[in-house]
Amino acid sequence: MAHMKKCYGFLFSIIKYVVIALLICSVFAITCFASNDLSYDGYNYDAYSVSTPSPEGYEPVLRIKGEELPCGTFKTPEDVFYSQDNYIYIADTGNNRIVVLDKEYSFVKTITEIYFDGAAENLEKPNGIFVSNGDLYIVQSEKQRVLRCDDEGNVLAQFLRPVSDIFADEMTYTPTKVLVNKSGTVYILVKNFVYGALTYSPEGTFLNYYGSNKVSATLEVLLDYFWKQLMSKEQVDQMKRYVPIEYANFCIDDENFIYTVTKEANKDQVRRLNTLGNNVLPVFTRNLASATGKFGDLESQKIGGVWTTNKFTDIAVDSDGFINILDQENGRIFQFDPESRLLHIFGGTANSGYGFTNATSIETIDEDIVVIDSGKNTLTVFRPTEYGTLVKNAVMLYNDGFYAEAAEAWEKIVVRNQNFELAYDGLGKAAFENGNYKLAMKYYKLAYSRDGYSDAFKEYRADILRVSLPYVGTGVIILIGIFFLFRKKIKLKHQLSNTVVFGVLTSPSDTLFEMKHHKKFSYKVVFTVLVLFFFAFVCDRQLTAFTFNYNNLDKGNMLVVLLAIIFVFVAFCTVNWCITSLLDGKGGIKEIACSTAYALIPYTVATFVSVIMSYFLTTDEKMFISIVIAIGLIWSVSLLIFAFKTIHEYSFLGAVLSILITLLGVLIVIFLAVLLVGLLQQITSFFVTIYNEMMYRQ
Amino acid sequence: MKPIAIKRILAFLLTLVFAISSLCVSSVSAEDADITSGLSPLDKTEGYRLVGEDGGLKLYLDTKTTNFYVEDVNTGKKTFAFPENVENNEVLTQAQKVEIQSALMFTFWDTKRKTENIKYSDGVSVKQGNYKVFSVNNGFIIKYELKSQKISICLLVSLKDGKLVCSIPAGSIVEEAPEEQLLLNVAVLPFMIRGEGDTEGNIVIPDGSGELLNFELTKASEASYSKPIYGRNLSNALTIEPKTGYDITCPYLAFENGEKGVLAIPTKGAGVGYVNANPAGKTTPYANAYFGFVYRASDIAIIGDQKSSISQSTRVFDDCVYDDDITITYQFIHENSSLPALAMLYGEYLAPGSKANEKMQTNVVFDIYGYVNERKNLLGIPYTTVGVLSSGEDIVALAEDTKFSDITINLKSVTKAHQNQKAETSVQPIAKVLSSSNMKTLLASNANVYISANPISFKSGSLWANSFFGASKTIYGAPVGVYEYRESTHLANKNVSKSLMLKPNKLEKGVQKILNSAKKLGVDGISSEELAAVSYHDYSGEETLVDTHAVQEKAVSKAAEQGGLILSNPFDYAIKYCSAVTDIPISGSNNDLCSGSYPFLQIALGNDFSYSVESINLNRSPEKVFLMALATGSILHYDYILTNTEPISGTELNFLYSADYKSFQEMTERHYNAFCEVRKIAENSLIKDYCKVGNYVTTVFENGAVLTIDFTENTYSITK
Repeated sequence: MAHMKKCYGFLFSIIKYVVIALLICSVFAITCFASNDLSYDGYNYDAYSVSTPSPEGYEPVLRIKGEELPCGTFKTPEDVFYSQDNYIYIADTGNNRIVVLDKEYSFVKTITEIYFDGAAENLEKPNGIFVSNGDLYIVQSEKQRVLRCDDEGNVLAQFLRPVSDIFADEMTYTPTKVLVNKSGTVYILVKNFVYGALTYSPEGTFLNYYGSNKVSATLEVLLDYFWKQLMSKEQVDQMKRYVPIEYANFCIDDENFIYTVTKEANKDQVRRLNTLGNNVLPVFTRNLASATGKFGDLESQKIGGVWTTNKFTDIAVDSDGFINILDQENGRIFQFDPESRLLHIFGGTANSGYGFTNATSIETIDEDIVVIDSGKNTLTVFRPTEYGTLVKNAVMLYNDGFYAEAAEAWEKIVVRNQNFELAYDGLGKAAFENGNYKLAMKYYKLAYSRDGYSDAFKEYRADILRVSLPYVGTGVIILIGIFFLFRKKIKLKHQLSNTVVFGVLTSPSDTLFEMKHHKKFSYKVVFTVLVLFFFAFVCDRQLTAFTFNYNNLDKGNMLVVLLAIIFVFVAFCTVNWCITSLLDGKGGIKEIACSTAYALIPYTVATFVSVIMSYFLTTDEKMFISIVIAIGLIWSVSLLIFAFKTIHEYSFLGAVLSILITLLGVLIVIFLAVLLVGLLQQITSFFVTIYNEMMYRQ
Repeated sequence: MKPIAIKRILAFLLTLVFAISSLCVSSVSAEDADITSGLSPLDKTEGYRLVGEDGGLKLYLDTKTTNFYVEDVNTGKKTFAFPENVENNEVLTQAQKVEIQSALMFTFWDTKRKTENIKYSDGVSVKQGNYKVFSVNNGFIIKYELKSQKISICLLVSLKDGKLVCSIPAGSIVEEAPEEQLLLNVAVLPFMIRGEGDTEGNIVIPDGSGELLNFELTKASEASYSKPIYGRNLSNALTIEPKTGYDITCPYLAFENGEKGVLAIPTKGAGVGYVNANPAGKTTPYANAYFGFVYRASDIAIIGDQKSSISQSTRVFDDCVYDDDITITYQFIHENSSLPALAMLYGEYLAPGSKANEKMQTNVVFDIYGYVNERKNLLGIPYTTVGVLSSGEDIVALAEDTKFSDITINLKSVTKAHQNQKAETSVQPIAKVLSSSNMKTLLASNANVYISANPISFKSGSLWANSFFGASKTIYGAPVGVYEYRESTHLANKNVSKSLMLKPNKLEKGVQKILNSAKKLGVDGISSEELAAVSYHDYSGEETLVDTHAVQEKAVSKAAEQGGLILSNPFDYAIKYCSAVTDIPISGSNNDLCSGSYPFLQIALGNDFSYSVESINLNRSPEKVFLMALATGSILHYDYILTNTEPISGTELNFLYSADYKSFQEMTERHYNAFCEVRKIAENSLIKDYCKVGNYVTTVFENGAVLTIDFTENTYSITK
């Protein structure tokens, strides 16, 4: 027993010493923690722009505070840069210094002074930092200059306000960021300057402007452009001017492409500019056209009753071309692959823990991503998780065209995240490459990749046809033979030609005149056609084949559609009756309703046909569907014109005019209806507020 | 004398009798309410006097300063309510001295100035001589009279069963002029749990599994810590805030400095309690942590459209005050103190007698899901499809064929049917799973089976009640809740703002029906996440927050008395009543003033409960979570789909993004084998010591086994 106790004592003493030794080591080490938990969830977006949960691709592993380093607390640091010689430069703006760390995040030195021809000067408020070929490029916004210094702090060149007609006199020169390309050309972003970056020679001579954003062609912009063509110069001067949005930040990759990020734009927040300033970043086509080209959140959120949007402040591209952008508003990092596909969203805002309060700058350091938080005065290091590493490896193989090689990684990713659509796309490509088209179609469908699905379907269809074409061909020939043998007994054409519908569709003027004369119009027809039209709409939305159907089948409410169809139809007929009554039209409301219903038949039939065709065609053959729809539409419009011409006893032009005026009237009716609903909502809200106030203030 | 006159005289006399008797009753009531009635005040003299002795502890009080201490008879170690000789300290400011020497801290609302004021008992009462001290059995009462605020309050301190019990008894707070000063909060013994900035030691804050606040001075620049003990108060519709961190889930505070350890548990009133903590150097040279209690709930109400710039806000107050007991029990470890020892002490409180609960004794927990999906037909009309992600046969097969010696299966239902007020459908997935399985076979196997009642929030409380319990009668009698629907992952407040919840008067019956249904089925128990959160309260209605809390506590406690209630996320008011706590947060909110996470709760509940609220396979680092489970003696917990994973894509089930059992079978078996090896060598003994340095964790078990985990390589080794 005593021996046992002795053993235990020995064991505990060993543990004690080990623990003490480790504790001593930890005093000198920067706090490093394998975080087990985060106060935010990782997420991504699905094909319908709805956020879906996702494992985090990166996790914070280190949070460096100045007080843990020999240099002392950071004070509102604004920029971080990782140089080619593996040093991290932090522009510690509030402390008027630049802090240099090595790639292990250990302190190296601080730069607090610069030298103009040997005369020392304190480095005041460095806002941005870039290092190229051993030279430091330091942005001093308040001093309205960018300095190029050597490693010792000797100033080699200054980049000052350009003397140029384009740079307006009233414009303040406030440089915010700087970068240098491989040939030594210096690019500077200036606050409120909307025409891109200013470029300088290494010696500080102003060269030109470079790569501004484009003005988005919104409806408002186009309308204003239209009016400006008709206005005098004075009037045009008084109108709103549309100028491009300034860049928030930029960075440069190993291939000399400049990546820019725009702070608050709805689309195209990220651009990859070549030496000519043209955007060459591939745009990933998302399932919803409205989401294509968007680099931020696809859903909006409301904080404190206010809708918030992303505010991107910085961009960093790693050596593999993966793009990281920093959203200051929500403290999140969005990572995209070189083809601009969204891979991960991580990070968040919080007063405590790993959350940011004012994330200002982002940089990639090998596999790590570091973020400067000027609110908390910290440098947070994110490192790829096991899942994040898998995704990166798979994406790189995928982008290089090694689909089969990437399949194994994609399979592992799907196990870890079944919501990741890109993984299914990768698996689809691998299956396609292996000739397993049916499996490829399944994966492409899960990935919402319609082009991929269509390609796989094309091959699959060809396989089917190769096998079944002899049988199908034989069957068709037999059917044709039967038809010719018994054609005399088939009186289909004769029976059809006797129907009113056939008559209206083929010779509307005569048939409608007959009907009007004999008063054969019936509301049954209206009802039947409207029901068919509604079902055609439903089929088009819900049953069109996956290749051509971009709708979220779970989101639509067809009852609303039904009400809308009825409302618009009734409004159209009523407005037409009102207008034609004033314009000496002879048609009654019943005749108008019936004629309009008959006119809808070709379009309705064409819609049904197009839905059926969608199951047999690929995206390359979409034109056939468009032709069918176009024929139906033209036929319907023609019918409507001829119908109105007949029942109202108008000329052709009169009929067209009456239809146009009717459409305008319908728009006014809709506008008034919306106005009424809005008014009712406001009145309700008013009374609810009064009630609440009475309850709370009693 | 005329009969009428006699009648009048009789009526007058009767009235007089009633009036006098009612006066007597009211005076007796008043007497009863005053716990100091009949007691003689003690003299206020300097120096400590013995006022109580119990279970190896002695209680001493200085009636002049109102400071007191507990002395351990065996070791002679003393624990003071607040530091000694503060008045003579030349470094401290007068304001700091007042703050440190106060046993109570008050927050008032000045109704005229419309401002909040903090007052300290030392400043507004003791220094002015406006207090009385009374002796009671094994303790004392201090009655503080705050003249300016026109309020009196009693603090009862006594020794009982070897513990120090400090309480503010029900009815002992008397407000004379609430129209001038409204008492909002009371904090009790703010410096009982403290450590000087230049000494070594830790305070454990119950944030997540436990967060450590070191006594060091470097955190002074950080914000103070203050969070409700049970996290967000979902029963209060006006105070719903976006969730930015993990809720605190178990009420305790612990302090350890190598010489001694103190564990504080709010045994009464935790439902209205807050945990507060300050780093050393923040306001005083001490790091301290304490419990505050909401006496009168209040909130900011927005009038008008929040989006509008002309909307106004106003402070609103609960009509009713919290008039029940507030009690904090302090326990001391004066020999071999350590955080694991304090955790064990807390474990004893949670599960008295034995930490190993027979019913819950298990090694692996599987959560198996059924679902109700909302689909739309061709016309876009919504309808619900009931499906199973794991068939009953699969569950039986898993239970029978698995090599695991003992597993627990939680059947859970996921649905968003409540969005369209069709709550009755939420019971159907489980019903379908059960109908496709042979329950007797399943129950006879080595599996415990639980049905899960998940968070419930509906647009209409009454409708929910009717449909939910109505359905429970017709479909298997097994009501299950609904998943807290997350329409959007990153929009924190989107869904919560939609919710209205069940009114409190429905809850008690509801819980009873759940239990009855479970018994009919023969299942072992029902777990409930955030059961209390289904109660509804707002300031414009008749129900008060206090009513709500009371009903919640009563309902849950009653349910627990009958057994079979498992709280899987114990946001409620009856943690000590529940038979088990299943899910535990991995770590806290990583508050900046804390120095790191500590698995206090896991050690407290070790050997019986899963490591984290998040299952191993759904975590982004499964191996790390598994190793942490080993290190803390926790059981293994997985979320699995056994049959069919396809329905989850594009649905509200998408949070199960890595739950395909087939993909994780090998990992699960490997984990289980490692788990068994550790348990075997450790001989199922409890944890004696736990230490984390850098990426290494060392756990020492009571039988001498030492488990070392290297998180760099994700490896472990165990020796004995």
